[in-house]
Amino acid sequence: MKLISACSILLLCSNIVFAKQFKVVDRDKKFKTVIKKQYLTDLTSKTSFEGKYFKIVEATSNQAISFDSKEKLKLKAATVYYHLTKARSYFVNKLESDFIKNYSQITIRLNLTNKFNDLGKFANVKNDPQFNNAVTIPSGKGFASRGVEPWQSEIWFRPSKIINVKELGGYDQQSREVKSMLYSFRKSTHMMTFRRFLTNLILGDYGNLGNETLVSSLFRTAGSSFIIETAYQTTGIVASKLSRQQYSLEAALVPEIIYHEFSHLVLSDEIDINTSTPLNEGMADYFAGKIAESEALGLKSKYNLFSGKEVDRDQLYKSRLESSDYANADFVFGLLWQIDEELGNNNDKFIFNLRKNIDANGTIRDDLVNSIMATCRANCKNPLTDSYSLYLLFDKKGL
Amino acid sequence: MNKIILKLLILSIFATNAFADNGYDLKLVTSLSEMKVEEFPSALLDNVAVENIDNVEIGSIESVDKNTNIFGNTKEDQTRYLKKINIIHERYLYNRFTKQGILKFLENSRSNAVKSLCASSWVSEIRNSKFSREERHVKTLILIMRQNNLIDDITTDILLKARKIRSHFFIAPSIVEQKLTFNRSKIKKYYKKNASKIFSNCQEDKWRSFYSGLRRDKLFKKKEISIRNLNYFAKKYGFINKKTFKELEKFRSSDVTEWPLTLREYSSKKNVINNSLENQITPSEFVTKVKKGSKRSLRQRLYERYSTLQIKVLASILIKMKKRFSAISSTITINYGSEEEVISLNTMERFRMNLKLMRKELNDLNNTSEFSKIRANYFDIIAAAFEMNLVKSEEIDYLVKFKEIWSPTKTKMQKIMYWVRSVGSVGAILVPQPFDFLVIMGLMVIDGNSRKDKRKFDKDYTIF
Repeated sequence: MKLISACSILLLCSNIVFAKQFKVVDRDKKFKTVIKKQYLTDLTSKTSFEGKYFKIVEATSNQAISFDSKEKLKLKAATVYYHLTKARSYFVNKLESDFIKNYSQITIRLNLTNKFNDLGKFANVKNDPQFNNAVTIPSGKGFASRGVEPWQSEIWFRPSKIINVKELGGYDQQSREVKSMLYSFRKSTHMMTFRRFLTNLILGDYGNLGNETLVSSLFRTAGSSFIIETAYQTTGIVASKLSRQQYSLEAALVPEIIYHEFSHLVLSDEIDINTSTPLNEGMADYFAGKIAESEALGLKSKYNLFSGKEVDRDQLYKSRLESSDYANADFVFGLLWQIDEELGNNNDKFIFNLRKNIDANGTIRDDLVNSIMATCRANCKNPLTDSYSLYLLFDKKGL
Repeated sequence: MNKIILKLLILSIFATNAFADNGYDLKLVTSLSEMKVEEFPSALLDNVAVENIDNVEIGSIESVDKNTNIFGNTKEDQTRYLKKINIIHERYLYNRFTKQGILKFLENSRSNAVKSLCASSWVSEIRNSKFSREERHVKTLILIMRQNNLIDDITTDILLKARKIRSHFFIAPSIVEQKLTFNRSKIKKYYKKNASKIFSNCQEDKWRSFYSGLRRDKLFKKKEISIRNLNYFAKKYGFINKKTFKELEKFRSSDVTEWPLTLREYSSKKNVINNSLENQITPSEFVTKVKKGSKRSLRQRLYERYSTLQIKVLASILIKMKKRFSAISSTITINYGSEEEVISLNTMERFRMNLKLMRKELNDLNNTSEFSKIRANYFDIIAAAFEMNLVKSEEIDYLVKFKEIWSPTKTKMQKIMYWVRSVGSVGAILVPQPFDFLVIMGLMVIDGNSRKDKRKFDKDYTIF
């Protein structure tokens, strides 16, 4: 009898959850990152960031981060915990994901620089340490002979590190962009100068001028061409001087990155997360945007000096977008968002159902389009007209 | 002076180029096809697979009583004629009589018209009723019928025209008889045989058949003047009596021959084209609204320009396209004789190929002698399919948008910018240095903006 009572009390205690107020990084009405006080709910520990659904640990440790940790670490842990709770609530309540509803406690690692290793989970820390990103790792069977226990999917947030833009080849990119802008101006100017020269020559304007005026006129024509050409050729130097010199990303303090990584985990019931592809990244971006209720991801944040993602980047499909180098381009994000708008707002469930038909390693123009059409046939309110609407959208996007 | 002329010449070359790129042009058609079903070449029917129409699955719907509802409106909104109704007259009628009473009378008159299929008789019935004290009430009563969906736009249009059939004061033709080149015996024979038929049922149909007989026998050359002379000539020499002459003149001067459609023609076309689904179709504004710069709706134009078979053929093109959209896969086979290469098309390639095929079939159709004078366009095939109840009104908006793929509409701003760019790029020569830089920068901004709208994507990855 005593044993039963003890067990009941233990069971009851295990279900007791707390809420505690912490400072977290959140978005204000203008979508700027601000530090706010928010309640963290479903905490099961009174002293550390361990809750019913999430346990926030530092690096390779298995102990939850204490409430007495340093302010910066505490801010990161609280921010991650707060936004993960929000994301979980979205998937459980709005999208009715049984997979995540029944998922046991998820371990979240902060400031971890180790790369992921299929066999041992943590690769040697000296082997290419990782900074400025976040990753969702798939579950693993462990490696018993080496004492590595099996593990569940986890989300890892890397520490930030300031990188000089030269390391990223950023100057070249900016220089190319500015040069391409100037290119048509240069071309038009040269063409016009040449045309004017020919017109004056044909009409005999030069013949009517005195020698001095003629020389001055020719010099002026050549001079303007020279100025344009010099400006064009020195674009790279000017661009490098005017642009940002350093980059860094504190992934654990950008809400949309937290949503994005959690979305990977939720979608992993159907979509492979072993590799980063345009399709699985685009899907995760879409849900990150939905949770954040924003068409922009990772922008207007002092914790992210890299560029973010936006729905409204008016880009057309290019075959190079299929390569994993462009996995983090925002084309698929924009496309999925526009599908949502085309089919009528709040179609999150449509895109959520889409995961069942998607092969993460498939192509955008074949597999994604086919999956969307198949999902529409099964789930659209008006399959016929909605499919017309999708055709029009795909065509508009250059697919 | 020569310099100015030369500069103007350069400008004009650019301007001509700019005019050449005028985008989509709507084909204007002046003649009404009088093609009969049996005259239609079987090759054309094979080409567009007309038999497919009957096989299209449209679900089971309760049948409707066509006889009483043939002129009723099920497909049109009321925007066109609502504005034309005189509210004062309408109120007067409703105050003097009850609305219910008026509608009951109009409904009965419609039932009678379904039997007679004659607009002039229908209008006469309205005119002679107790509800029509004055001539202007006739128009109001017709519009009340339209307002209450007892009739559709096409029927309203015919009735409003029929309302204008009135006796006119006759003025003898000024042309001297000796100058006319009439064949007296031929005219005498024709008038003696046919003129009295004008007094039988449905005079407008009789007049139109009398008129087409005159045309067929080449009894007159110039339309209006000559026919007036002919009637006068026939009366003067006693081929017809005064009463017949007056009746013939009444229809001639009322331009009944100019009607694109009579009530009888409309009902016979509608009977063939429409199936029992009519009441299940919701109205489509696109097909029935009169667009800016046009006098007729697509639906009106369809009935006025095309024969029933032509409408079926047009609809079949759209139905074929719709069927292709539902295809599970499409392949292109390259046959080398001993071996074959099969290329699969993806979803969007299939979609664009289907649109291309539809346009090709429409073009092939327009190249047949039966359609060459009419030149059907994409909107006609939409209207035809809608009229045959083979597409739903909610589909139409999307089908219309498909046209943007091969013929994008230019906004006013784009058109203006095109001109500014074309003229500005030449005109920049005339701007002295260093201000020409400003012109170039302005042109670049325009160019950048207009390039944004162009569908300039990498096409190497796609077959269609």
